[in-house]
Amino acid sequence: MCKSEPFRSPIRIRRQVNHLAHDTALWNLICRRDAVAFDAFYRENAPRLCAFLRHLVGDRQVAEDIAQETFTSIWDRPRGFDPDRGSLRAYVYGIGRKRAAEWWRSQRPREVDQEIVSMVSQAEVQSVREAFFLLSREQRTLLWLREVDGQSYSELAAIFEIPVGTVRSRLFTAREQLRSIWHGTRQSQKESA
Amino acid sequence: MNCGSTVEFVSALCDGEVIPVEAVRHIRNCKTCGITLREYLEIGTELRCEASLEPVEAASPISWERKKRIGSNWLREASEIIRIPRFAVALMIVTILGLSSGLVALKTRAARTGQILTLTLRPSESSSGGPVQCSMLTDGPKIAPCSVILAVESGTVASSTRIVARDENRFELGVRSKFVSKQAAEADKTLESSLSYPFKNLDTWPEKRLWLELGQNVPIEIAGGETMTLRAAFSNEGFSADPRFARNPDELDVSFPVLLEGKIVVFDIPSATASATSKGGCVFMYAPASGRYVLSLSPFAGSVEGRIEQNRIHFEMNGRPYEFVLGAPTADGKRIWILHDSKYRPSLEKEGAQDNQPFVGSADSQHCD
Repeated sequence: MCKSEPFRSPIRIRRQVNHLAHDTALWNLICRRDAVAFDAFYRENAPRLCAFLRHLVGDRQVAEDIAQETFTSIWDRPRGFDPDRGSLRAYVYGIGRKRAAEWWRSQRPREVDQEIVSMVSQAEVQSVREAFFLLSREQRTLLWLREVDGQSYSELAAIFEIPVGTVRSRLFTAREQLRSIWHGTRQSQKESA
Repeated sequence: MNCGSTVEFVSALCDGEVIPVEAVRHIRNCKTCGITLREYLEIGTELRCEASLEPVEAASPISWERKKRIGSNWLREASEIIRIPRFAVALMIVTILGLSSGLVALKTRAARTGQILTLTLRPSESSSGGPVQCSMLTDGPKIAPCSVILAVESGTVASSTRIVARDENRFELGVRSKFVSKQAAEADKTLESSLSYPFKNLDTWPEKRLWLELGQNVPIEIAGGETMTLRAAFSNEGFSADPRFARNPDELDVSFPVLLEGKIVVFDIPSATASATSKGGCVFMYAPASGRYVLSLSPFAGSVEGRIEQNRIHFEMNGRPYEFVLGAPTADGKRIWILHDSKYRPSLEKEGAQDNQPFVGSADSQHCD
């Protein structure tokens, strides 16, 4: 359970209407090349995006690079955001996810993925976090965005470009998979004790 | 509901989603689903705790100041790489090939000696005059208009028809016509003379545009109350069916000449005609930048032989191919001789003559040298 640092609560309250107005106003400022507004947006969202990307690519430095590339590309060419399709944050995460996918494609097959998996094996799972790394990359991404980042179903739908119903069923599958790994580990630990 | 159909709603419940009433009732009363819900919540809590333990680093500072743009937007965007699906590239290639083959077909059609369109102009039934036919080329840079004069009961009709556009077997025609009644002609003699060929001030006659299909009869109203019917057909007999283009063996006729060197236009002399009717006679053309060309049906000193194909004359000079395209057939025979005098200037022959005006003329055999 939680140990030393205070728990940083994710934003779970639906403020879609406010977000929409805020996002549209912020986007207009970005399009008008307002460096101050964009810097504030970057400082607020970059650390979280970076943390998310770290789970996607498994490398802190690569995640930082991809996060910076994501924000730089938005600043250089501010276009493509549609408030009707999701929040600005979901738009940024969507770009980050695509860039991470591109990075994966540019890597040698399975090189890094195997490295992450090799960190833990099912028998060595001690915590949810270790069980978490046994999930597929997409399941990890989805669960992280939902549980840690607090992205709503509609935001996840915008990021992954899938229907909301699919988000619901994929989240269930990921949770069930994680529970089964973790549950199985705990059972075996009880039996051995 | 059973546990199997409810378990996905348990997951949705963890996410703060609203779920069906039946699912809520089942989850409240089902021990297994209750345990699943707690474990899901526990997983989420564990993940958030683990994430909270991770050090959160502030984003590296980046300067977002405006960059000086190099080049305009369109230039920058034009130099960027875009991704095009393979099928789109294939479609593009097919389209380019299609368009280019269409251009080739168009060029081929423009280059060949065109079909001959025979127009039949019939006066209104109340008139005593019979139908009149005239033929015209359908291809080429210069197509002589079809000009006819019809005597009808109440007076005289003059008409000049030109091809404006063509769509396969449909032609857009521009028809200029004029009617002078007998009474008006008696009162003013100049009116009658205005209907003699070539028509004077033809450009001032109002032009009616119409689309005509082969074999179709189209009535045309003429100012003054007269009407006539126009009918078009391709002529299999060529120009020989039209007495207008019947040539005597010694007759050489040049109208509206265009000279091509390969596909390049050397000169174009519009609205100019000349005829040589005597044996050994010649027709000459002068264009300021090209000098003088002399054409004759008999060989003469310094000339090269050419080949006549209806309204076209092909010949070679200094190893380069040339072609005269004329508004009407030029002669009855197939052979012709051409001389080019690039140094010729009208002022050298006649004092005070203008060197900057193109012209076409004819001469008898005594004056062709």
